[in-house]
Amino acid sequence: MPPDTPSPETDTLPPFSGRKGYLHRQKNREKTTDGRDRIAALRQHIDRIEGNFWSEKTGTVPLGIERIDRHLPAGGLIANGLYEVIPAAPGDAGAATAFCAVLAARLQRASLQKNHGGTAVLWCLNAAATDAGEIYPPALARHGIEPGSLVALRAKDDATALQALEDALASGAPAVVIGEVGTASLTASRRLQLAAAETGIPALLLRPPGAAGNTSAALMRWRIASTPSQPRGWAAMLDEPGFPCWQTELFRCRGGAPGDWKVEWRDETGDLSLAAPLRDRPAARHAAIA
Amino acid sequence: MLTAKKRARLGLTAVNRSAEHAGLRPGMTLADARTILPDLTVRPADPAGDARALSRLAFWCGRYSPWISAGSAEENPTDQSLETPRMETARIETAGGAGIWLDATGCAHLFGGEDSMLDDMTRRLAGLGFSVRAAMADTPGCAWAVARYAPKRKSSVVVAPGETRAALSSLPTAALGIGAAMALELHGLGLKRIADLLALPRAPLAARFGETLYARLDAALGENSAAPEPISPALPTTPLVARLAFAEPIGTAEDIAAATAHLLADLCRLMEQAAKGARRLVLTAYRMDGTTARIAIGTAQASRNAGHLTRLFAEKLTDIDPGFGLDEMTLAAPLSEDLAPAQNSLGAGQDGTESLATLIDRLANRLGTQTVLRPAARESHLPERAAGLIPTITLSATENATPLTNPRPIRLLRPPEPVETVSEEPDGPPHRFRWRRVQHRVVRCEGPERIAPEWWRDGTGGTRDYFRIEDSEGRRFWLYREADRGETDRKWFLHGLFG
Repeated sequence: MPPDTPSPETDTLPPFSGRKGYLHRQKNREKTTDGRDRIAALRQHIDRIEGNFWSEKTGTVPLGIERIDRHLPAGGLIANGLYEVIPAAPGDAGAATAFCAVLAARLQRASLQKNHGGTAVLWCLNAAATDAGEIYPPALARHGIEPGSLVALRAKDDATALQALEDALASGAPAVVIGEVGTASLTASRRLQLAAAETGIPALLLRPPGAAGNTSAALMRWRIASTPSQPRGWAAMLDEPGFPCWQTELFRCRGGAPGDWKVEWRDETGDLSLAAPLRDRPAARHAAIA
Repeated sequence: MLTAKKRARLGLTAVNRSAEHAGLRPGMTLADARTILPDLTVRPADPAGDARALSRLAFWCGRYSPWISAGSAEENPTDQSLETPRMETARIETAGGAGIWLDATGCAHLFGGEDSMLDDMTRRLAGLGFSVRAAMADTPGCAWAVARYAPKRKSSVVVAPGETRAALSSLPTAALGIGAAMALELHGLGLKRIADLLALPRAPLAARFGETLYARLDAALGENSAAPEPISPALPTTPLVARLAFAEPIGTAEDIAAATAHLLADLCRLMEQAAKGARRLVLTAYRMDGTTARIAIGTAQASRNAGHLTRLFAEKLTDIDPGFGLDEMTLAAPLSEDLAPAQNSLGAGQDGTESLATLIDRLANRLGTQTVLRPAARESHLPERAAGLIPTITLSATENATPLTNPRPIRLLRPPEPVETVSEEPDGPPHRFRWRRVQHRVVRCEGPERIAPEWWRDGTGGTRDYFRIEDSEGRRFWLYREADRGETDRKWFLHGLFG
């Protein structure tokens, strides 16, 4: 969260046993400090406990939809985070893969703009986890990942995939790593998040539909479902499919509130936009913070 | 104690020394042998096992020269003999027929001369329980003859350069390796020794015995512009080899790692001088008991960065089982490429990051070279052929294929999966279909896109009509129908999922 604005969420954070003691010590030691400094110090402390990794330095990578970016605590994706993309149903594997590729392409472009960032996208395939074919490079190119920058890895199981992802993150070589992972313990995901934070390389996990129920240390967890497209012009007249539309549900966001948006993807321009007419859908049923 | 082999009847293929003293000879029938020596022990012959043992031994001999070859067992192996054609060829063979060849060109000085090299070889092999005869000569033919037919006073014989003719003269004609029948015939004519042959004019004998006789003689002598005898090495040879012999056998993981690092440093220096970079490295460890352990690594880019290569080996060194101890290790680069000398770029690698190529190598060596992939494109209309992922280790660059303009699914099923369809129009898509037990109602559809098979290739199937389909939930699939079948037995397949 931005350090300069007080946030109402502070009170709803999970109770931390050491907080009271910390406050007490602070009060005794620096009685003269004015309130604003105290709040800043507290916020830093909370950030440390929570493992919030974004700061001014890491920079944010906007998704390109203003409403969603405003909703996200850092104003977009951050470069050193772990993200999860989960299809809502087995048939949505294509939509989830596409969304994952779009996120990866944005993160990769941000890395290219940095001085000595990596250029490659490392995609760890895992047939055991996603039983829905294999990525097809020409289509990935349409989602922003050029075949020239793609390195794929065929892992035989989740353990191999996680190990390879961690190695790739630790090496600092790629711009983005993507892993198809079936089951990953909280510890495994936390290791990945720490490795990503360490080297500043974002990691994306493409999980199978059932994985939404598991706990994870990912900064954001997205659930992706296909929704009927809204063809226009000729396509509408001929009953052809329009631009792909996805129901993107941010069902967990560290330091932020969940959200649910219907977005439309245009591969010609590489633009994500909120799909008309449901331009705004506040997540009324997710009042609590995940 | 002898070996018997089934032919039409049981016969002896090999006899040991005490049986030989008792008068048994290979080729005898088992019944005859039993008559002479009633309490003899018989073991069935195992030619395949012999060949395996011989090739193991040949690899062991790699410690002396990178160029080794296991000869085939022509007759009957009992005691091993080594033949080492020197000059610029040294050879080892096993007596009786099976043998090992070594090209010792430029190797002998590493062992303190030819004599001491052969002595060391025979001593070590004797220690492993073999009776060995070794010979080193100017030509393979001469070394072969001397190892097998020279009077058995010493276990190793070195024929000095230029002494070939003298060394061969006293040997029986069979030493030319011309086969038993021809040797017997020559013997019948009174030509018992090679010297007898040398004394006679060539033409009449050549007319009678054919080209082989003089071809073999010339080859053994290395005269009359005889072509060198071709011998295929068991392993590809390479000039890029580093070796390290240990005074005391080593066995701990740290020692092996240290020795590997040392070898890599040596080899990288060699490669730097030759302006080469390794694509493949083979580390061979020679165990005390005459067996070898071998591990190999590959790199996606030619490299002579010792640090990088050490890391690649580090993950595999545990595969070396030192057994009773290793007394020598060699490191060779069988596959190398030109790599121009380059200045180490300033600052690279200092901030703890490694390059992508390094990462790819590391993953490929740990997970298997076939698991690290790059996209490849081919000039083809068939979607499964047009694009895919191929191992990075594959040398061929990808073809410049025309970029696809039609929409293609983001996930492609290999192979396409059959779907059950319900009610369809003659040329249109189905109204419903069932894939993986889930029913999908087709709402929108684009197509068909007709993709014809590549008739110049086998097994590409028939013409397909592809449809891009959106179901009631908005999921998009790539379905195709086999176009050139009759209406009734047309099958539908799901080939991919769109984003």
